[in-house]
Amino acid sequence: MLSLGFCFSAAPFIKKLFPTVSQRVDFLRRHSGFFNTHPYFVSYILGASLRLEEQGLAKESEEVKLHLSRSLGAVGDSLFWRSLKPVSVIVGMLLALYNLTLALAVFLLLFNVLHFWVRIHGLVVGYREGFEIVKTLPLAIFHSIIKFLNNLGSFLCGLLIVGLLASPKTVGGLPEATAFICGLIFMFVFIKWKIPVPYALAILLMMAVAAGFIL
Amino acid sequence: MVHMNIDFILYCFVGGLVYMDTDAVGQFMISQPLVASTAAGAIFGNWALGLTVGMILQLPYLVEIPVGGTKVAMGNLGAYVAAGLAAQLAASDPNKLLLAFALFFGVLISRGAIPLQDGLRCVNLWIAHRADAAAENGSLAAITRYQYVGALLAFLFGVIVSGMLAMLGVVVWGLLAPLSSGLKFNGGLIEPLLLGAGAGAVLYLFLKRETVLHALIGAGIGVVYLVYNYL
Repeated sequence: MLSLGFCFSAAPFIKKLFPTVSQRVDFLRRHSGFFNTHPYFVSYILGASLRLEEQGLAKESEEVKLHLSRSLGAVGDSLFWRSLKPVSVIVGMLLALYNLTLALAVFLLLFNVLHFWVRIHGLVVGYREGFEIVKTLPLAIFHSIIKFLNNLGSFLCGLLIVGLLASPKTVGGLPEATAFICGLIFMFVFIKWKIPVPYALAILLMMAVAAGFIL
Repeated sequence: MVHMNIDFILYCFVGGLVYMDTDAVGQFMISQPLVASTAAGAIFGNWALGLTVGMILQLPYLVEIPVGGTKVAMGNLGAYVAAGLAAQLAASDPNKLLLAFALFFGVLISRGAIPLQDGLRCVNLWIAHRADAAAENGSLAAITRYQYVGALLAFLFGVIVSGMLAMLGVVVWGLLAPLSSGLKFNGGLIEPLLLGAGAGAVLYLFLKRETVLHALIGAGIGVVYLVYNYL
């Protein structure tokens, strides 16, 4: 269904560049096939593809989609879902222990600054470079950012665990600290055993409720 | 009662936005439990409880990565409904089991509502086929229209599902609450246990052999900061 979004995003451009119905049909046929990549990084492909269409290089326009969709999909998933989102969330959670408004603002800003940058930069650079984007795409920079975010994420994890353990708002006494550490260990093991998160949470909740009745 | 109804309508409307932001439009992260659950709590006049639910349910779902067409749990909507339910009921019911019930209900939704989402995907697929047919005719207006219809459907899905599930939660709690009223229950362990679970989930996400040192440095700095503040 991403191809539908692609054609939708290109609609103003199509109206301008292809005045006749037959030209539009050709364009839409070329671009309505299977297409899958990361929803933010698609802007690089969109920019390059439209530039090539403008130059009358329809075949190259399809090729650029084929070349970039998989690699950009992988980079996008690693950068945004596996790295930036958790890092932003951890920062937000740490700040939420002190100031909620600041926490929400920082969380949304941290994530969306890079999000919007990729969307806008992708469209501009993709359009400027055309087919050359296949060679000049700054994938190495994105990989460096991912590595940095992973290191930062680990650092923040350590900080978060201490922060949550020490905060009177969340933990407090010895039984609560014990429960926190039990939860941490159990969840780590459940995920390692590939137990889906909702099941793991349900098991832990039942444990907490059972403990609540006993203690 | 009128005030309550306006709150509920607002809650359903925001539920639509939450579902839309999760997948279909924007993905600006306003649908994340930290934001959405706090909003749900605020709508029913208890943002602090909403934040508590959001913090508890935010971290664990981070390990579920929406790669390609993978089916992941509907954690955002589940957390939103859980927070709305907890905040809505807490105003009239001080039962200590309420938080556990709301969280359990939210967790169930995150898994149990997937078939509903599959239904929406079938409708979306049908729309996509119609759009493909429109592409064959070169009709840009139709493609644009189908795109907006898809977004609107996602919004309506969020509105209806969040509203109906919240109502279902109220009914189920109405049946369960009298049974638990005489029981002695200590709810103080729920929050730390599940926050620990969240911490375990992010630790799993980031902790690798080469990043252990970073985690230890982070923990060390946290300890130093706390000791400094304590002294």
